[in-house]
Amino acid sequence: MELEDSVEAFYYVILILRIYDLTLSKNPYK
Amino acid sequence: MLYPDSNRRINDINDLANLFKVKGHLQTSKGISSFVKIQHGKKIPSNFLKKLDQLFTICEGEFAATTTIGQTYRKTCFQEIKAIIFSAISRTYPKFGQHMLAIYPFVKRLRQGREITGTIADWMDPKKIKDKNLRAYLACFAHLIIVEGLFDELARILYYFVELTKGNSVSVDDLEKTNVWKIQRKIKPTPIFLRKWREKKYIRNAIGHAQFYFDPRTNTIRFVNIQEKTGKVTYDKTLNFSSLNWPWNWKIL
Repeated sequence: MELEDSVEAFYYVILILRIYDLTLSKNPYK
Repeated sequence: MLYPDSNRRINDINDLANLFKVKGHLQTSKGISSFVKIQHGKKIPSNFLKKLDQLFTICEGEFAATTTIGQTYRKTCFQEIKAIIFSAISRTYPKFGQHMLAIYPFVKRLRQGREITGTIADWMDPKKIKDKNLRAYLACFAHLIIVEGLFDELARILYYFVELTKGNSVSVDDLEKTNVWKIQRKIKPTPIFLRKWREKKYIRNAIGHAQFYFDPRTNTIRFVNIQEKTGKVTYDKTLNFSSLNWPWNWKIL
């Protein structure tokens, strides 16, 4: 059974956005 | 390699891909893994953003399809949140990371609430808890936490991002002081999880004041809200309850 949908969606969006950071940012670990 | 620390980045991308794989989102996982190739190259491909957008579409589809109930709701949640955060990023990049740190206390609280509702969700299976009453009471407790501990925190986080898109930075103090009623007026259109907020609050109050009545024969719960000072009944509604449906599926969304 899934958790609250909006919270789950928020986490997924943030997680995928990490790709954006890891690809484009000069220092994604700052 | 694209960057001196590309190996570290590759590890992180693989970790992310694995996380989605564990969740059963195999296409999303595969899509994430495909970004490793960029780190091995010499420049960022011109179609990077298009590729990322495609990844979001794949993730949205898998996320919505995880359950058979409420797929439209899940899809809308995803699209709305993505749109808000994307706008904030395009407005603030490359400083978006700093803003994420600023709202970290809210994300932390969100995570705490989520752990509780997650544990309840794991136990809601009729095979694990046979007593119908107990399942209904647990669902009510989950609703209380969702409305008080999850929706309001997420509303604050999204409000912070919405203001970023307007070029405003809300202080953490102001964010703490604000509430969903005020936020609702500022985020337009109202995100799906904040719609019918008054009704959600009435149900939350009924639970908090132990004015809810579960009928295992009809599988319904009656929620009553009485104004303390006047004794006036402000809410009295009987909703269908199914242990497979979470409170947000109590036909109030």
